[in-house]
Order: sequence, then structure tokens, then C-alpha cells
Amino acid sequence: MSRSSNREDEVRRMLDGPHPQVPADLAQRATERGGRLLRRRRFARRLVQLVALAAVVAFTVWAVAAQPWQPPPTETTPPLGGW
Amino acid sequence: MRTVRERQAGRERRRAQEFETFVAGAAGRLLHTATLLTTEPMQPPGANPRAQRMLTAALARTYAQWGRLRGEDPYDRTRRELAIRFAHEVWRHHRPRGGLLDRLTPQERLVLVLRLYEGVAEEQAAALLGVPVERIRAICNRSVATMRGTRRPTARWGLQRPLGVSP
Repeated sequence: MSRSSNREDEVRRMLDGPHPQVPADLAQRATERGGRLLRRRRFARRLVQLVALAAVVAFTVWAVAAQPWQPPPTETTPPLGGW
Repeated sequence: MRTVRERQAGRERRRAQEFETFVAGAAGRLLHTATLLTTEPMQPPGANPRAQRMLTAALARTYAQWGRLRGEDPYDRTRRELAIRFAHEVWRHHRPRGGLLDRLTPQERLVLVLRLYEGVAEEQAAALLGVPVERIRAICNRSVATMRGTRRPTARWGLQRPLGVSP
């Protein structure tokens, strides 16, 4: 075994000392917080979907009402003559 | 016929159960990792509030992504979350707090713990921290030398008193 990996093993043993005690409610706290995160994310997604839907509806209503594909009525009157 | 709401509640319950099983198995090791990073004492219980806070936040994100892990190991996912979180708030962890890795800088701690305690490959650690592989190797060697006492601790800006000595 090389010397550098021997040294690393020595530090590895140092790191693998006594473990801290895990608080009993850790999972519960993480679940609650994660659930909040999830609900907030879902709400944001729902909001974006709603805004997109509203935009599509507004555009459709405007397009049907304004009919922008129709040529605009001519603004200049044809020259009047012959009277 | 079950309503959408009932089905969703069932899914949440199943998710919570799976997550609880995962935490029961992984929390001990993850909390040890977090406490090594924040260099708080391992004993007595509750002496590592920063590590607990960091781990709770990392686990909460894992829980939120539980349905979309797509075969990724939740342990790896949480460890990555923990490392990223630590790297983001590194300025909070400069002060020695009486833990094992007091002599190391936060960056040295992160690399040492990922490489030697968690056994993350050099390439993966490099990708995770966004630095070249050679740099990971250099930091790791430096940290090993410091921990074995064959090298003076890296000088740190803003720390007047000698490291590892209580005021």
C-alpha cells in the first residue's frame, strides 16, 4: 500500500469517530418543511398555468372582436369627379 | 370510486412513509457528515444546532423531490444538497467551534469529508464544487497533512487568535 493512502486511512479513522445522536423529530421536521416547499411549488405552478390560460382567453376574445386579419377600411376617399 | 383528493392523500402518505424509512437509515451518517462540516462537537446531544439545521433543510428538499428522483439515490441527493448548502453559507462556518476539524478551513473540511469520509470520487467532488480535479487533490492532500500535524493550518483572514485554542 502506498504511503499517501496510508496517511489517508489514518485521517479516515479519525473522521470515523463517535456519531452524534439524531434528534427523534428530525424526520418529522423535514417532512413538514418539505411538504410546505412542495405545496408552495405546486401553488406557483398552478398560478403560472392560470395566468397563461387567462392570456390565451384574453387574446382569443380580442381577436374575435377586433378581427385584425380583415383589411382596414380605406382611409382616403376615392377622388370625386364627374359632377 | 376514489376521488382525486383521496388518491393524492394516499400518495402523500406513501411518500411520507418511504421518506421516514430512508431518514431512519441515513440520518445518523448524514448528521455525522454535517457535524464534521460545521465542526461542532459530536457530544452531548444537541451540541450541533447548525448541523441539524443544515441537514433538516437538505432533507426537506429531498422530500419535496421524492417523486421525481427517477432512480437517483436519495442519500446521494441529500449529501449533494448538504454540500451545496454548506458551500453557499461558508462564511458562517469560518469560526472554530470545538469540533474535530477545527484546524481546517471550511473548504478544506468540505473536500476532506466528501473524499475521505463519504468516499466521493475525485471527479464527482470536482464537478460538485465546480473546481478542477487537481485542485481537489491538492486541497485533500493539504487537509490530510494538517490533520496529521505535518503541516501548519492554513492561515485564515480575520482570525487573530491561534486556531483550536479557546478564548
